[in-house]
Amino acid sequence: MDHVIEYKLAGRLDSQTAGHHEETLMSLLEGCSQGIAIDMSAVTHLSTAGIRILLLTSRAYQAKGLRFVLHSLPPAVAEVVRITGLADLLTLRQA
Amino acid sequence: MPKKPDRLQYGADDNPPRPALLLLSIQHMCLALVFAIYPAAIAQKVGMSPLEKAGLLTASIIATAVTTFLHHFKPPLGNGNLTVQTPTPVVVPAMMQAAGIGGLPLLAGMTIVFGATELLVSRVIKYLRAYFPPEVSGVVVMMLGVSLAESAIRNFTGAAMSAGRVTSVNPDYILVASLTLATIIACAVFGKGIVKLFSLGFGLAVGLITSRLVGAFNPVDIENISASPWLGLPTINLHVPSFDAALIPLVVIMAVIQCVDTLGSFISIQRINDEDWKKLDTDQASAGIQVNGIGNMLSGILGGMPGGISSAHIGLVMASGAAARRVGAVTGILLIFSIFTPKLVAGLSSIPQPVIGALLAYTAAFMMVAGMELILSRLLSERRIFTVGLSVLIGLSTVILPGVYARLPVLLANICESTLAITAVSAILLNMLFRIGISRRAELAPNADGHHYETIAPFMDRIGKDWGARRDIMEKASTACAETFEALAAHGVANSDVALTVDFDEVDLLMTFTYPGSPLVIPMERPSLQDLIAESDAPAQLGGYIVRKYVDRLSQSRTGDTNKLLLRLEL
Repeated sequence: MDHVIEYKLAGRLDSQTAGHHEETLMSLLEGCSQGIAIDMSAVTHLSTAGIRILLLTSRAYQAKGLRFVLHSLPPAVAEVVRITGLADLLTLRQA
Repeated sequence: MPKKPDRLQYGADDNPPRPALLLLSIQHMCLALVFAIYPAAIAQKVGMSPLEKAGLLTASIIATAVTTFLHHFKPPLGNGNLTVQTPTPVVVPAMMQAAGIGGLPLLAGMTIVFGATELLVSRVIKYLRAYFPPEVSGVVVMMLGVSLAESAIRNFTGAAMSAGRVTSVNPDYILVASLTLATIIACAVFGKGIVKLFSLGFGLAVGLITSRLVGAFNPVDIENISASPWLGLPTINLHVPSFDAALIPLVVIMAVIQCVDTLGSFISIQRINDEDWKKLDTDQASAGIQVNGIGNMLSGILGGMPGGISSAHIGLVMASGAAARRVGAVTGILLIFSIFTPKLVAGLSSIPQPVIGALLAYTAAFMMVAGMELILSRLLSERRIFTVGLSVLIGLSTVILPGVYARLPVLLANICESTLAITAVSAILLNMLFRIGISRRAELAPNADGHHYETIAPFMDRIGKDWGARRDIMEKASTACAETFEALAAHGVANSDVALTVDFDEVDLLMTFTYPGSPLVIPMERPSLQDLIAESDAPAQLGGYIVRKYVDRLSQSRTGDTNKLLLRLEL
C-alpha cells in the first residue's frame, strides 16, 4: 500500500475490547507504507486500557517511520485524551 | 483561588489600563441603556405621561447604576465580579399589572416588595435549589416568553381591538417593527463580536429612524425630546409607595424566580473566571442576590422597576475577554452621569410603539427557546414530562381563556390570572407531587462478566430520568464509574465482587463502590503515560487519576477487609 490507511474504530475501547483492536491495528501495520488515520467518531468510551493500546500501536507505527493519526474524536473521548495528556503524544486532527 | 482562563485578558481582580477601562465601561453602559426598553414598555402599556415615563426610566437607571457599582465589591458587600444589573423582563407582565391597577405608587411599592423578597431569599437560596430544578425554571422562563407575546404582537401590529376582536392593524407599524426585528435577527445571527452583542441596540437605532420616516413617533414625545436639554437635573418622581395585598404573592413568586435565574447567571460568571470551575460559589451568589435586593428596594423608593443581573452583559464579558470588576465600578459611575442628560432619558422614554413591539417579540422568542433549552437539559421521565406538560397547559389556560379564574377569591385570582405565577406554582407543586415514591437510591448488581460502559450508561440513563438529573452529569457519572471498574480490575479486584450504589439528593450524585480489597491508589498528579506500558500498577493509577478529574469529590474508607470508594458529583 502506498497511501495512508483509513480505519474506523467503533464501540468502546476498554479492557474487554482492547485486545481485539490491538490485533487489528497491528495486522494493518503489515504492508502499510505511509501510516494510518483512525476515525474515532463511533467510539463510545475510551478507558485507560484503550489509551494503553493506542500508545503501544502508535509506537509500533512510529518505529517504522509511519504516521499514526487519530481524527473525528467525539467530545467525551476528546476529554479523556485531554485529561490523560495523550494529546501531547499522538497526532490528532478534527476530521 | 480561581484559575484565570487564557482567553480572558483581564480577570476579576485585574486592573486594565485607563483607556481600556473607559472603553469597556462605555460599552457596558450603552448596552445597559438599551434595557430601558422594559420600563418604556410598561409606561407605554399603561399610558403614562412623558414626565411619568422619564421618572420611571431615571429611577430604573439610578438603580442599575448603584447596583452595578455595589456588585464590584467583594463579598459580603458585593459579589466581586463584573456584573451589570438591568431592568428585567421577568417582572414586566406583573409590573404592567401593578401599574395598570395603582399607577406609579403601586409599581414602586411592588418593586420594594420584590427587592425585600430578594434580600430574604439571599439568606436561604442554597436550600431552595431543590424546589427549582431546571425543568421547573425552564417552564417558567418559557411561559415568560408566552406572557409577553400579547403585548409584543399588539405593539408590533398597532392592532385596534373591539369586543375582544381585532378591528384594524397599522401597516406603518408592521413595517417599522419588521425592519427593527429583521435588524436584530440579522445582527444576532450573522454578526460577530460587538455587532452580535449590540444587536438590540442596532435594532433600536433602525426602529427609531424608520419610525421618524413613517411618523410613528408620538408628537407629544417629539416635542418633549426637543424641549429637553442636553445637560440638566434628572426627573425624579417620588411617590408614597402603595401596596396591594392581592398582588404581593405574585410579586414574591416572581422575585424567587428571579433569584433562581440569578444563580444560573453566577454559574456562567464563575465559569468565565475560573478555568477549573467545578461548583457554584454560593457565598458569591448570595451576596449578588443581596445587592440585587438592595438595588431593587432603592429602585422602588425612587419610583423605578425591578432589575436583575443581565445575561447580555455576561455575553459582553465573554466576547471582550474583560471580566475586571473595576469595569463594573466605572460603568456604574457612567450610568449615574447619563441621567444628567435629560435629552437621552426623554429619547429612551419615547421609543415608539412598533419598536417596543419588535423588541418584545425578540425577547419573547428568545425566552421561549431559552426555557425549552433549560427543560431539555435534564433527562425527562414520564413523571417529569407531566410536570412540564401540565404546568404549561395550566399556564396557557390564562392565555386561551382570560378571566377563567376571575371568580376565585381575589388573592388566588391574582396568582391564577397571571400566566407566569400560575405556571410557576403549578410546576413547583407538580414537581413536589411527582417526587413522591421515587427511590433516591439505586444499585447496580454485580455482574459475573464485569461491568463496562455499555452496561453502566443505560443504568445511569434510566435512574437519571427518574430523578430528573442533568444529562451531562449522568454522562460524567457513566464515564467515571466505567473507569472505576477498569481501575479496580487493574488493581486486582474482580468486577463480580464490586457493588455500586448510587444516591441522589437534588444537590449531589453520590456513587459508592464497595469491594473486598485494599484502597485504590488515586494520584493527585497525572501519571506518566510512558509508565503505562512499562509498569504493572500504572493502568490502575491512571484510571484513578481520570476518575478524580471527572468527579467533584472523592474519598475512601475501610472497614475490616471491605473498602468503600465514594465519588461525588455536584449538580
